[in-house]
Amino acid sequence: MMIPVVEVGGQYNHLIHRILTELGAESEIIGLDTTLEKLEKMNAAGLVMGGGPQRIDKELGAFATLGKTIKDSPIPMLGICVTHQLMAFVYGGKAGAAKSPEYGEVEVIVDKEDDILMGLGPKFTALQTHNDEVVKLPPKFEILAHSEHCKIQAMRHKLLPRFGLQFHPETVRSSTDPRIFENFIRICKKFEK
Amino acid sequence: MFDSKSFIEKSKGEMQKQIGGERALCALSGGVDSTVCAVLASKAIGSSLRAVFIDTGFMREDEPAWVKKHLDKMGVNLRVFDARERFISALEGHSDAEEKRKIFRDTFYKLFGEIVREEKCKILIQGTIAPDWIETKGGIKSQHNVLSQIGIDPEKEFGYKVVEPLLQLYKDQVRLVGKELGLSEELYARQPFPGPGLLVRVVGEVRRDKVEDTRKAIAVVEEGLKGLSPPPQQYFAAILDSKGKISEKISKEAGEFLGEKAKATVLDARGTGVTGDIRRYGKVVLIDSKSTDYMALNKTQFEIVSRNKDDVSRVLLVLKSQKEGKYIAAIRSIQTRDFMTVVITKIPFELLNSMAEEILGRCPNVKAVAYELTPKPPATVEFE
Repeated sequence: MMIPVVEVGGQYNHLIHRILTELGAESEIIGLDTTLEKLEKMNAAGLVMGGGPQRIDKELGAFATLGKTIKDSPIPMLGICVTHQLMAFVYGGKAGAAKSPEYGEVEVIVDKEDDILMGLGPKFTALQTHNDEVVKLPPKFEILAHSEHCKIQAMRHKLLPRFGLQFHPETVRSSTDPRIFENFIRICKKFEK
Repeated sequence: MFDSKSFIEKSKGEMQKQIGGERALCALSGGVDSTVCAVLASKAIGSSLRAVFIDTGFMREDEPAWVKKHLDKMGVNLRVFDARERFISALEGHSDAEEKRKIFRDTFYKLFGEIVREEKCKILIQGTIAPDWIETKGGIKSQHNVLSQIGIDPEKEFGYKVVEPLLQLYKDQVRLVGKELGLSEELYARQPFPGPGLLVRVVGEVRRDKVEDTRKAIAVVEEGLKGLSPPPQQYFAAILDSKGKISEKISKEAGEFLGEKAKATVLDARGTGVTGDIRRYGKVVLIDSKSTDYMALNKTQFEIVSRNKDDVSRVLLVLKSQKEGKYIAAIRSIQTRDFMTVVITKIPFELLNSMAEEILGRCPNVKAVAYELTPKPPATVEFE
């Protein structure tokens, strides 16, 4: 099963690729210019998008192609950090500067132990390293987890397989390692059927 | 899981294809990556390999002899090249972290160009691994061994092609490859040592006496922590200039989170950090407090860095100090798997204090010895 990783320029993008491979999925690193056609050609069963240094409200141009792909492709997608914020934007929400940026382990409280957070309730610790965050939840989305300073630590589309995480499950400083990726692979398998 | 055996087979084949019977030179620093790379290359191309160790002068105590002895044992014939004066004269007086790294890189590759021509080689094999190019491409710090990934063409610039068999691996995977290749545990489990060596631990302006103090302080920490269980993945010391100003604001913040009186000095010295995937070259804060509560200390560094996000990148806790001295010695010890994120080691304070005493005794220029509290992120492992 092929689950490519979109390299967005963050420090942990390549670690996502490593974890997926270790969990037995096939994975390839692809760029921000990824289109629906490319995903279909690769026969992608799901897509994980990494973090990056960009600010969604100021550098939208760089995300035009990926934003369109998020809307057009039906396969399950997981956005982490800046691509979680991008997903919010694409579906009509908003991303912007966080009141309290977080750099380090933070306790994350699970509001809804959905598919992607399966087995992680009622709370876990996760590594944060962000200046921005999702400030307005898009319509048709629901919040899955929050922390003291950040209301939307995890979210999902109520009908479509779209998941966003503000924290970094791909680093060993998150206690979720590698649970969330196991969950995502399961989601992709279910979707394939 | 990662299969080191099949990696070695695949990689040997690829190297033979890339090198195609030419003579190739391999650069060693004494660290795990370059050592594993050299042994892998020697298995792939045998006697076509020339291995070189450049003594930059920024090496640990007795490093050149140690490396030579161990590589000889592995059947890799090593030529040691003394370039100490060349490096220190190029770097002396420079202060900016990125500038220092770039001067080091240029000096290194120019010298290599000379050796490559002398040895009649056209190819350089080196042990670049994933975090090297990820950090360099992300603009966090310029690793000296990353060239083509940031648009430098080594063939045009320095006159040789570069082959990098470990490019997709992380440190823990490199160790597995080393083990599979038959390296002794002493070699493959060795703590990482940065390519530019002590240079990234001589924080700020490079001076000859500062390099010597750094070398001595590192020897104390390596000796002091070598028996610790579980072992830290990396442990060393860095030397910073002691000039700075007391900050009432940060003293208050620190006192609040420690539940103890605290005095915070913002040093002029800067250290590299990474927050929100962006490089941060912020100031170093020195906290003087009696607290030995690691949970409170961790909360304190988290809050100080988050609240002063535009100017602070690292937080240190003073262990011991004396009246006079122009330097601060910072002990750093970390736990990690892949070095992309790390936490600090909770070393018993008794042990920290005894190392601090010893450093003060061995380095008369050192005014205070401190323990680094900042994980990665928001700091990086090395200071620069």
